[in-house]
Formats: sequence, C-alpha cells, structure tokens
Amino acid sequence: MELFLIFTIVGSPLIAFLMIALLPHRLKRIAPLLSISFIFLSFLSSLLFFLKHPQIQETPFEVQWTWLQANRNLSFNVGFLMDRLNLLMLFVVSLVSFFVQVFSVAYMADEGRGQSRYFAFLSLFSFAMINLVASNNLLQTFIFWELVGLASYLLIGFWYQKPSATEASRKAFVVTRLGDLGFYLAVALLTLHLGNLNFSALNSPEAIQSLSGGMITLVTLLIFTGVMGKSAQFPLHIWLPDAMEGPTPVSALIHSATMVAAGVFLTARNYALFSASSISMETILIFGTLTAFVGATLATIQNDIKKILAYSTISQLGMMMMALGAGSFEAGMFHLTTHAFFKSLLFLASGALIHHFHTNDIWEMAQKGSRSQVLTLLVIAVGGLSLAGIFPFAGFWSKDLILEALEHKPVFHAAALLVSFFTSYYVFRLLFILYFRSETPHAHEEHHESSLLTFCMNFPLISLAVGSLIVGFMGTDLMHHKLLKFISPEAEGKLSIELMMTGTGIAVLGLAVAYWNYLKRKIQPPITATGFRRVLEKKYFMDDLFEKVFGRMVLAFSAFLNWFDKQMVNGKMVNGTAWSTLRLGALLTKVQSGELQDYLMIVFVIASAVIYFLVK
Amino acid sequence: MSESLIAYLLLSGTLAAIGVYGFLERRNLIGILISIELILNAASINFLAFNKFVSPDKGLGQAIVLLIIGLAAAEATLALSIILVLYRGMTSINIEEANHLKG
Amino acid sequence: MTLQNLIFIILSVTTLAAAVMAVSFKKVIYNAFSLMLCLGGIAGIFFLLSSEFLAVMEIIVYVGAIAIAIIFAIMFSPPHFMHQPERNWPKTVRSIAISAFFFATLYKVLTTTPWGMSTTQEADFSIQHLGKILLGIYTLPFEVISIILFIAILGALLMARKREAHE
Repeated sequence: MELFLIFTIVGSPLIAFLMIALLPHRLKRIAPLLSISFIFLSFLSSLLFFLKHPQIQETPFEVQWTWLQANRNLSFNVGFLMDRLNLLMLFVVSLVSFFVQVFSVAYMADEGRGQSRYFAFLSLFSFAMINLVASNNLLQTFIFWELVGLASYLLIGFWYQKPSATEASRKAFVVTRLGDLGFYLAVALLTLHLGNLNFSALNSPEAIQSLSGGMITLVTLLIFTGVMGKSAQFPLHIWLPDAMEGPTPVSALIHSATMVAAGVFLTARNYALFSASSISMETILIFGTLTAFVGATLATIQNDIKKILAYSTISQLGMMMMALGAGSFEAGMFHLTTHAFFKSLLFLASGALIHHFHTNDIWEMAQKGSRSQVLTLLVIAVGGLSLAGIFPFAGFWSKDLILEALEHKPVFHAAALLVSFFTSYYVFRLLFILYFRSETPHAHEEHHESSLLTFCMNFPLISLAVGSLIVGFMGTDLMHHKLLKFISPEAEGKLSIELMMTGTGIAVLGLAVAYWNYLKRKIQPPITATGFRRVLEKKYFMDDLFEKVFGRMVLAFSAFLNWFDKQMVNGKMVNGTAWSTLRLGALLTKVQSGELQDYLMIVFVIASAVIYFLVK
Repeated sequence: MSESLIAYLLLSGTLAAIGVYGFLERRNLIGILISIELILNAASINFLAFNKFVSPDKGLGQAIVLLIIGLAAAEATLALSIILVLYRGMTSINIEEANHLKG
Repeated sequence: MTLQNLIFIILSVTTLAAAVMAVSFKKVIYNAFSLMLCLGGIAGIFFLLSSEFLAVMEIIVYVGAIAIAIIFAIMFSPPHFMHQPERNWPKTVRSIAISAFFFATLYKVLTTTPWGMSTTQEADFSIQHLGKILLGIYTLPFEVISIILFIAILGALLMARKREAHE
C-alpha cells in the first residue's frame, strides 16, 4: 500500500506527461485537464501517505532497489525516502504545481496549439521535481536535478520564436550547468570514498567520521556550487532575472517556489554532512548574505514587475541560505515553505496583471489604471506584506525565525536587517505605484472573459493567499508550532518580543521611505542614475563581469576548441578514422573475393597452422 | 613396409595433400569433385590402417569405411546435380565465375 | 624385400601417380579415368590391409558407380561445358605451397604421435563379423546413412529436374 502510494506520488505527473505527449491532435484540448488532475492525484497521495503515517517524523519510510552492483563496496540504488523533510516539500511542490496549473489554464488560454506542449512540460517538471524530492540517494537526486534543469530550460524558452527567450533559456541552462559540474564532482568523490550514496548513509555519524575533515569541506563546497547554480546564489544568480522571459506561471512555479528551492532542500537534506564542516557553513552564510543583499538592493530599482519579483526571489533564497548557514535548519525550511506560497502568489497575481494590461512595466500598469484590479491588488498586498515581514503575515514569522537564528552573529544579523529594510522598501514601492499612483481606469475598456477562465485565474490567487496566511500561523505559538515541529521535532520556534519589534520596525522604516519617495516626493520615471543607483542599474557589474571575463575566456577557449574540433577531431580523428576504416575495408574486400577456393585456402592455412603449432 | 602403420599413414597423407592441391587449384567443378573423392579415400585408407594395426575390434574400421563409401556416393550424386543446376544458371562450371558473393 | 612389400610399393606408386594425374590433367575426362585407376590402386591397398570385402566394395561403388557417374556427366554435357581455361600459375604455386604445408602438418602429427599398437592376435576380419556389428551395435549409423542416401537421391532428382511450368 505504501509502495502504491509512493508510486502514485512520483509517477502520476509522468503519466500525465506521456499521455499529453501522445495525445492525438483532436484531443489536445484536454491536456490541461489531464495535467491538473494527475498533479492533484499526486498531492492527494502524499496527503494520504501522511495521514497513514502520522509518526513519519520519528520513523522515516524508505524503499530501495539495487540498480547496479559493482562490487561489495559499491552499489547504486534507486529508491524513495519519505520523511518529514521531503513530505513537506512534496506538499509544497504538488500544491503549488496544482495552483499554478489551474492558473495557467486562464493565462495560456490564447496559446492554442502551444497549450498542450506547455502542460506537457509542466507535468515533466512536476515529475522531475517530485522525484528529486523523493529520492533516497544523491545520484538519483542528481539525475532528477538535471531533469528539472531541462524542464526549466524548455519552459523558459517556451516562446521559442522570441530570440530573447531562447537566449535566456540558454543562459539559465549554461549557468546552472556550471554549478552542476561541482555537484557532479561531489557525487563522484562521495562514490569513491563511501560507495554508498544513500542520504541516510551519507549523513550517518560513521560516514562523517570515515571522511577526513578536508574531504567533507571539499565535498560540501562542491555540492554547494551546484546549489549556487540552481538556487541562484551570488555570483551564479544572473540567470534568474533573465529566466523571467518564460510564461509568468512558470516563473511562479519553477523560478520562485520549487526548483530554485531545490538547492535549499538539498542543503537541508545533507545537513549533517554540511554541519560537519564549519568552513562550509561559514561559506554558505557569507554567500547567502551576499545574495540576499544583492537581490534586495537590485529589486528596489526595477520597473519590470517580474524583475522585481525575480530579484526578490534571489534575495529570499539568500535569506534561506543564511538561516541554513547559521545552523538553523528549521528556519530555512520554514522560510522556504512560506516563501513558496507567498512568492508564487505574487507571481501569479503579477501574471494576472500582465495578462490584463499586456505590459510588464509597473508604471505603464499604473497609467492604464491598475487600481481597477481590486482582487489582484488585494492578493498582491497579502503576498507583499508577507514578503516584507509585516505582522501577522507568513513572512513575518519565518523571517523573524531567521533573524533569531542570526542573533549571535552581529554582522550577519545587521545585514539581514538591512535586507529586510530593502525588502520592505521595494514591496511598498510596488504597492504604492500600483495603487496610489494609478490613473483612474477607463471603465468601458473592460473585456469580459468567460466565467471559467475568470475562476481559473481567481481561484489559485485566493487559495494561495489564504494558504500563505495559514502556513505562517502553523509555525507560531498559536498553532503550537505545528509546521516547525513537523520540520524538526527539536525546534523551539520561540520568538523574543524585542526581535519581533526590531523586525517590524525595520519593515515600517522601509514603508516610510517608500512612502516618502513615491507618495510625498512623487518620484517619476525615469530617474537619473547617480552613485549607488548606477551600480545597481549595472546589476553590480556582474553581467558585465561575466560577459567580459568569462565571456572572453569562453570565446577564446571555444575558438581554440573550434580549431581543435575542425583540425584535430574532425580532420585527423573523425575523418582519419573514416578514411582508415574505408582503406581497411577496401583491403578486406579483397579478401572477400567471393571465390570459394580463396576461402578454402584460408581455412586450410589456418587449420594446418593451428595443428602444426599445437602438436608438440 | 607393408606391415608398418606409418607407411600407410604417409601414403594416405600424400593422397590427401594431392587432393587438397586439386581442391584449391582446379577451376572445373568436376575436377574439384574428383579431388574430394581423393581426400575421402585417403581417410578410408587411414581408417583401415588403424583398423588393422591399432583397433582391437577389426570390424569397426571396416564398418566406418563402408559408411564413408555410402556418404561419398550420396555426396557425388548431390554434387553432380548441383553442378548441373549451376551450369544451367551460369552456362559455365568454372568455379571462379561463381563469385557473386564478392565483397 | 618380401612380395608383400613389393606389392605395397607398386600399389602406392600407382595410386599416387594416378592421383597426381587426376588433379593435374587439363582435360576433365582424363582426370576421371585417372581417378578410376587411382581407386583401383586404393582397392589393392585395402586388400593389403586385410579388408577384402571393402576392396571389392571400393571397386563396385567407387569405380563402378561414382567414377562412372562422373564420366557420364562429362560425356553427356555439351563440349564447352568442359572448357578448361589456361593454367593460373600464381594460383597453382599457392595451392602447391598450401598443400605442402598441409602435408607437413600431417607428417608432423603422424611421426610425433605414439600409436598404441594392438596386441590382439586372433584378428577377425571376416565379413560375418562386419555384418554382425553393422546390424548390431552400429545399427543407428547404418540406418542414418541409408536415410542420407535416400534424401540425397531425392534432392539430386529435385534439383536436376528441369523446371517447366513456372518459366
């Protein structure tokens, strides 16, 4: 029964993907239905699994089969592990996937033919992501890690007619691959030194003792490079803002809620291993802080609503990493959960705006009368307040938990406060521009969509808004820390009043500055770039750096490779091989004269020779 | 000499070698058939020689040679009919022209 | 030199000479006649090996049936059927070399193998004994040979038959 449930959880999106891919043309219209129902099935199964195993916190459920048995010390397994950590992730992934897919029905309604391709890719992504989460060993995780990357590539480049979209998908693919190289090396090293890649074995005290300290540091740092690529950590964050070229629901699902959180999840998964190396933990903390700061500051100057959210995602991922690096595993995972809800909510709401106004620019939206979209603005407010960490929204609880975790590291604590100031600033900037700076809408321009599509658009927004409220409370005293206890039974989750006050104070300060800038001084776009702002507009010169340094290096290297490929590989090796094969073949055809007696001669010579030299 | 095994074996060996030569050199299919008969007979001589000097049961070698003669008869019949069919198809029995399997 | 030895030498020389002729003449009909001579010599050798019955069978089956069948096949064929092209010297040399190597191999095997000579004196070469074992313990090979002969004759007839209806 457990096995059946697990297979339903991990397999149903694959079935959906295959069915959609194989649908005959006339039936392509039911693709969304298939995709949605199968992901819902997956969600229901994980819920059922949880209900059948309420004690999953104490006793994880694991099944595995041997895939390859090299020798007694080295075997590769396929298997699934169900414990508190990935059950939580399964809920998040399948639920957010479900809402995003429902929303996509409305958002992609005008796509026509492309719709079935879109839903097929979404199902593929869900399949890969759920399997990534459910795998019980590092190699399997790595395989699905790459598959998620592929699905992300396919979906960013969904509008392949747009050169910028294909460009962005390529960038995302290449940059994350750069990080995955490290991950791959880590897998290889661990295989070499432990021979068993199961998470339970990796994180067992024996394994950690059998590895030298340097090796643990090396391996965890290598894994972290993979995490940096996937979770858009500085300096590999550059692909994420470009990834916004994809359809907005995709950004909501992949590039905010689930896939980019995979890095955080992986770190949490191997937390025992990571904690064994203080150097790695420090590195994670530093990179997390840098990422959080860079993301938050960059988000303050963007005018494209999706770019704001993208940089905000980067910054929030940095915050999660900070929590993990500071040693508070449950704070990181809790923030991941709440973030998944309120960020996908924000993305979907921005998708609704984009769908309505046909623009990404917040100033243009304001000009076209964004104030009329009351429901959308309301849910943006819920998500935004949550993001800014205003009481009592979800982000408030999780962010304060992170601040709490950082309390004994003053520098990082200050950095986190600074980040929350910027976060609150850009959130209120967005809200003020969209609501208070909005022109009066032209009422007659309304075009009515069918009620089903309106429902598909509003239902996920409302559900996610409610969900992100509830999720926040589940981590608090009011709900007896249900969620926190679920993540980690030892978690205390006590928040001190001073900390709450500081957090809220910082957020209110951000609000005040935003109020001053956008409602009192009425800053208008475009704003002349000076000083720090110019640095921001250049995105800390990271893209330039990559362009100049890495780009040049890569270009030179690829020029060399091109030469090498043409001259050596193609010229000498491939053509040479082909040529020599042909010559050899021509020589051998002489042997194949077709004449019986020639063959007989060979037979006699060989038979005689064998006998002659065998007989002593 | 007539009572030494080696003499008979050398005789049959020489006969077989001559047969092999004809087998490899002749282009006429009937010539090849003749060479095969020589090789078979060399084998028969071998069997009878061993029968006389080595085998304790003097009937065994003779029985085998009888079987060889029977097989040779069957082989000759078939070979001749194959030659006939080949000739009908190619209007020649030169084995060097039957090289359609040339690579 | 005993009479037996003399006979053995004469028979051997005849047989080998006839064998050489059987493979070296250019005209096939000469080859066939040489083969008959060679087979006669071999029958004599069988006689020397105390297998009188087989000597007779050799004459009857080989000389009387197989060689005659070959000669008939030659004589019933149109003249150009037997056209013999010029000798291909490289091929001849190659064949001689290979058969010499083959002979060398046989020679090495023959001379290096210790043949365990039988010591039984009361040798029974009689035809009665042959008949008994052929229809006794060796019935199966005997029957198999008869089936092979039967199938070979059927197959030969089938193949050689002129196909009319289809063409």
